[in-house]
Amino acid sequence: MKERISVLGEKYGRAILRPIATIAVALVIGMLFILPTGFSPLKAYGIIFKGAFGSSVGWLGTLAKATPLLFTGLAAAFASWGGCFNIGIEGQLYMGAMAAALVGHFCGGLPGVILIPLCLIAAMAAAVLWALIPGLLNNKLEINIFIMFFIFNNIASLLTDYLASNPLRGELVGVEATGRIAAQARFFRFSNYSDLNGGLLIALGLVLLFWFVQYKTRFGYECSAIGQNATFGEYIGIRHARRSMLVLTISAMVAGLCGAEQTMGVLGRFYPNFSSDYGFTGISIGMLANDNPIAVAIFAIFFGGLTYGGQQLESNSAISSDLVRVIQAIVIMFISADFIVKKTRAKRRNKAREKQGREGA
Amino acid sequence: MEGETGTVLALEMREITKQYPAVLANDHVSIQAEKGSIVCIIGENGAGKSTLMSILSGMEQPDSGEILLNGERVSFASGREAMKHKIGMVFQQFMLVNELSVLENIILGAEPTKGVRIDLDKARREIEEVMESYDMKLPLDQPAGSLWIGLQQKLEILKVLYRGAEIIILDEPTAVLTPQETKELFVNMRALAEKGKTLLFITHKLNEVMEVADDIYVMRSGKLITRVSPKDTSVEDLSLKMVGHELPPIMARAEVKGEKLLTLERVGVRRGREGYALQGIDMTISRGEILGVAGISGNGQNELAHVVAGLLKPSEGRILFQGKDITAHDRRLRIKDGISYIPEDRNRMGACLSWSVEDNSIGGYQDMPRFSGPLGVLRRKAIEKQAQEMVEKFMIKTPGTKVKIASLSGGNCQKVIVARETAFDASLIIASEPSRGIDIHAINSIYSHIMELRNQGCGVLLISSSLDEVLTLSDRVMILYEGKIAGVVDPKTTPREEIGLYMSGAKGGGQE
Amino acid sequence: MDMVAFLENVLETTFKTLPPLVLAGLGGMITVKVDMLNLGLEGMMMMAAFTAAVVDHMTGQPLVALLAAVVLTSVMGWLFGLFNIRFRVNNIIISVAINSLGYSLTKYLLKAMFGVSGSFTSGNIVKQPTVILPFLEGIPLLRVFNGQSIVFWLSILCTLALMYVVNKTPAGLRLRATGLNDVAVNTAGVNSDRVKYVACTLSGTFCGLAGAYLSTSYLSMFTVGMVSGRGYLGNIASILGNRTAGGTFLGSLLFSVTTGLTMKIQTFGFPSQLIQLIPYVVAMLCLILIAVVRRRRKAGIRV
Repeated sequence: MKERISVLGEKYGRAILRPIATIAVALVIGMLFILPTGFSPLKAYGIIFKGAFGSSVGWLGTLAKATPLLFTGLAAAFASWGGCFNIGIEGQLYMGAMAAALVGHFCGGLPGVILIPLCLIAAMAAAVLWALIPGLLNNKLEINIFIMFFIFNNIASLLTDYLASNPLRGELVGVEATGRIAAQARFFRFSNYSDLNGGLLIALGLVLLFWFVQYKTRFGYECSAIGQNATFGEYIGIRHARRSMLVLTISAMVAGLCGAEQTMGVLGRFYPNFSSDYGFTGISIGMLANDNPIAVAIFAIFFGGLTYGGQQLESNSAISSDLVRVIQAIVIMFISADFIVKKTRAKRRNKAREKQGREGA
Repeated sequence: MEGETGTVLALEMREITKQYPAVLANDHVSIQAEKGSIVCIIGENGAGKSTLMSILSGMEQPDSGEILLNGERVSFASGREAMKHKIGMVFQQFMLVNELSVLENIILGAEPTKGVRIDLDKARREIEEVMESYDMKLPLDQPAGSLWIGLQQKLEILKVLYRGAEIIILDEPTAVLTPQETKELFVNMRALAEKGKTLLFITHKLNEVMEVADDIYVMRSGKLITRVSPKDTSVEDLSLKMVGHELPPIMARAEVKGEKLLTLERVGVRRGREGYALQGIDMTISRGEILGVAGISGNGQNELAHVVAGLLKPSEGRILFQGKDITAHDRRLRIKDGISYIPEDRNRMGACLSWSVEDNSIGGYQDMPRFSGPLGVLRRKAIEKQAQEMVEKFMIKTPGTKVKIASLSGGNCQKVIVARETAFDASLIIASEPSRGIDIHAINSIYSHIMELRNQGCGVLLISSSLDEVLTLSDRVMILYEGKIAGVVDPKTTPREEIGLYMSGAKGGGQE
Repeated sequence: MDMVAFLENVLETTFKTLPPLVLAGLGGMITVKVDMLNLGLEGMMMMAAFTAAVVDHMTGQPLVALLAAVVLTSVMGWLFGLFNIRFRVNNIIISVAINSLGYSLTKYLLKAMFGVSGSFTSGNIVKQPTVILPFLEGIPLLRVFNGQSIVFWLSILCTLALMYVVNKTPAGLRLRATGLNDVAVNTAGVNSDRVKYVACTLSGTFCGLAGAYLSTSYLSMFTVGMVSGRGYLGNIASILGNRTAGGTFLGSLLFSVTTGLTMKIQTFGFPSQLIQLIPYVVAMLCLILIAVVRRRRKAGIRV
């Protein structure tokens, strides 16, 4: 019985304490960067948290900022669950957003019941294409997939930038963006004062779906086998190469939906470089959550709050909202660090013994 | 060195104790070695001999106890310090950089320099001197990875000699050698001892000990059991001391006559444009038969296991199973066909270490309707029950079925794998190195289980680098050499030396 | 004669864009040698560019600025090693964190310290000294070497030094061996972790030179995101160059020649986003080409 408790304690202790400790460390380091501005760090954090979670307006803003992170967090978490590390989410969501914007604009004559699914499908297809090219190149030619993802992220952002500001530029004067998407392609909004839109419901639905798939089904079991140990996965009858492409495809579909949500729910058209690191923040959320979709939801809302609160801070002080992204970067750095000091301790002990030995001799 | 007459103790380890989190690996162990002698340390897996040698070579530090070299107390915080005290270790798994040349491997970490650059000429001269004085010859400019296993081992010894080692530790050096290569190694070892080197020889093969040792230490579960001289003991006596008590006999072989189960027809696996990892394999296994595959590791055993298991596609030939052509079946289908596989590398392939015992207990059988219902939803209750049954049947020591399999000992982890691979009525079982790295009791129960399955009409493909294991269990023995069948012999009537000749390619089809 | 002028012009732009690519490439190459692919070159270069610009602005001493940038990124390189070796963080994760940090922290500090967003210019920034070689002045083509930044020569020096060290010295042998089989290196009595730390720190050092060059030599200002993918191109150059110093140099040369040529095209009014795309497309095609060639060659030995 005692052993059982310790096992459970270990499981949940790690899963819960670790992310909290990491965030605490990152917030403390973040303080170091606030101090030179002369602003009280505690006050700054107070503004952030009150702004994000202190009122219903704050919650609307927080959830609106959390929505894209829910998508990218799920995309990253599922990919990592299935053993591929999708750092191309950033590029995939740009392609998805662009595809949704183009379909929404040029197929504006269709009724909403058809247009909305069409936009979503286009977004997913574009994102999947953008993921599968590096994926297949890695699979067939063993080209380093991370370098490929980085290249594709850069190409995606430059290419969409080019398209939106040159051949596909819309009617807005002096603004580089595509044409407006048809009104019936827009998601409904919860309030006139916030960007929060129907995309949140899709995201929350996906959270439950992924939780179910990952923990309750054979498919999730098999993906986890590949993710934890590809050799073992092959051994229990799963084709590694094929399965990881499938995992990557599913992950990219979710990344594409992130782009679609931004276009159809928030922006209404494609603006170049609209993503403020949604992809990379999603990756850190996935890691904080240890690939658990429910935990992804919690951390996405937390980071959404940080971002929204950061904006409140910016308008109430001289501190720029980039602080939040600095904190996020520190979180990424620390979250998977294994601070077991066993080795250090052993080394120190040896040094001490060695010293004794020398003195004894 | 020391002008004393009589015996000089080159090495003494006193009261060495080492506690690991779960086990007391060394419990006040003391050994002595005279200069110019060969000292054997024997014991089963987990007896603590490797820990003791890790301590001597500076890789591990003892919790208490001391080490004396030529009467002087020393302590090492690292392998480098042990090396400075002229202690060298030849590891069981060779520590070579395959892509670098033999010469570079030898000088790595002890490079002679001229200014800031490596003095290659000096290095070559020095190495050639060492080679000459111990009568070993190695091609210095070839990549180390291209050498044959026996030569790689010589390279390891040379590495140690080049660094001027006086005390040389050999950890299970014969595990990968043919009987003939073993003989050659012993000649080399004797020559080293005669030149004043002190050798520590770690093994669990008792007849080798009797052949080469000047002095024998027996270890069991972390303790030193006894020290004997080879002339005062026998293989039987040593065996009893090593195990502690008589083991229950392995289940007897029953007379089974079964029809053909598995047939391989001219199966080949290409490696590169002209080479073959496996070539022209014709073999059959019948129900109720254990076919043992002997050979030095790397002669196609792994490929054979993977080809039959469905993890590797043969580039030519056909595989028939119960009369059906299953050549095109992938791993998933082979599992359904009834081919189960106990893989050689249990930590990487056989189990998912970060998973629970429960999740591991259905690996490969997850799509049986018992375990996954409609929409692929897993039936957790059934999985738990399955794991519990396996734990009970195999007496697996675990706090529960929900704990990570990584927290189990090697032997218990292997039992989980064997239990799983035999739980679902497979008709053919591939067992690759089923006893590697586990304790004698687990080995005994696994042997009995394999024999039991054979008696019930299973076919078994047993692949092992331990000739003893193959000879104990097999009904027929097939020897692989360079990917080809060198011979098929009857284990009851064929002397070991003859099998050794097949293994080294000196006899049989491998010669062409 | 026109041809000579044209070539000199292309050479000029090539040499101007070469140093950061070469240095980033060497920084990537040395970590790949010990099997620790560092994709965080980009972020380190951003930090270096920012630091150099700020220190130069404050002191008016470009060499002090260069040194400050190098010290900072060397420490970052060491931290990369620390997190990877000691704390067992996946090197891609650290890279993502470093890149994200490099971007957001420079942007944040720019606002916090100078109250500007986007870019920072200052009349106080003095460019890195140049090396004057008067005897080259009369020779066509070769005269382009005259008046190059000290960092340009440093990048060539680093390439040559690395070529020598890797192939001829004990340190180089240990470096090569560590990447191939670190356990074997440890048993040979060499602390492979120490080799890795040195490699990571040096990787940071090279990034420091590269980043400082961008803000105090190539330009004399700091712009957020001014590294614009040069770190990634450095990584690619080191892979194109088959993980050797000389090869990395040639790979970087390919990219800077491409950049030099496309800059010429830009003057004809080509959209800038497409121009910026070209190196990535070239990189991708090169990687594919190399992979195909490697595969063919490999098939000769193995499947």
